[in-house]
Amino acid sequence: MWANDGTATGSFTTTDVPTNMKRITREWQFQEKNGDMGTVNISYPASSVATGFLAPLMMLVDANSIFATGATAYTGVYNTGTNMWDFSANISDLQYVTFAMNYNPDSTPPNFLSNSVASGTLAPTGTFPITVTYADTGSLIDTTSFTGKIYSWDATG
Amino acid sequence: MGEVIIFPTEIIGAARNKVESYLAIKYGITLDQTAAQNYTLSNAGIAWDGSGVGLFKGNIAGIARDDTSTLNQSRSQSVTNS
Repeated sequence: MWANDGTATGSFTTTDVPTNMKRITREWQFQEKNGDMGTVNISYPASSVATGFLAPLMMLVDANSIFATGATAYTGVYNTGTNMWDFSANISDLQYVTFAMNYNPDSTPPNFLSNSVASGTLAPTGTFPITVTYADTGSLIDTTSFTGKIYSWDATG
Repeated sequence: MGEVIIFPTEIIGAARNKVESYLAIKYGITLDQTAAQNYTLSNAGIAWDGSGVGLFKGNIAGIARDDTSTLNQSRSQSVTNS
């Protein structure tokens, strides 16, 4: 059986979470009575995942509800058919569960490898596709906020 | 209406809790915890203990098997979506 503490699910915070992770505030407590249920499958609806999410969804299981230390992390598998993040775990009586994501920003900018401008037409409507290729290792790139900016445009010729 | 259970006489107390627990587990319903109450099985075993849970009493649901009451809920979610 399980029950939740009624706290928020709408955002990821850095409170009481392992290093390089963020989690939602809400926690669930599981109860396992009258024997060992064994490994169970747990699914979390992708439509309910908070904003600012970077895949994959993680599940944290902890003995005493202090997730910053001692929590076991499980990596979710996204199920395109059900639109759920699926987990498998053997959860014991009175353990606590929450959901989290990895968050490991660094301050080293990516290496830009190449850029190219495809030919096209400009007026009255048209596009010049610009492709920038980059490499970045050791951190997660939040592609939802990665934007390119054109600082100057010299339309001569 | 998912299920109707009829008894020849009024059932109260522990017996009533067993029936309500069976239905609550089967349909993902949270039994009222204004005053803490357990979910119990047909042998009076506790499936969910309502004492000392603090805030952890929201959207109670679970999987359980009780052959005497033919309860075999191997997959569940709370009916409450919040």
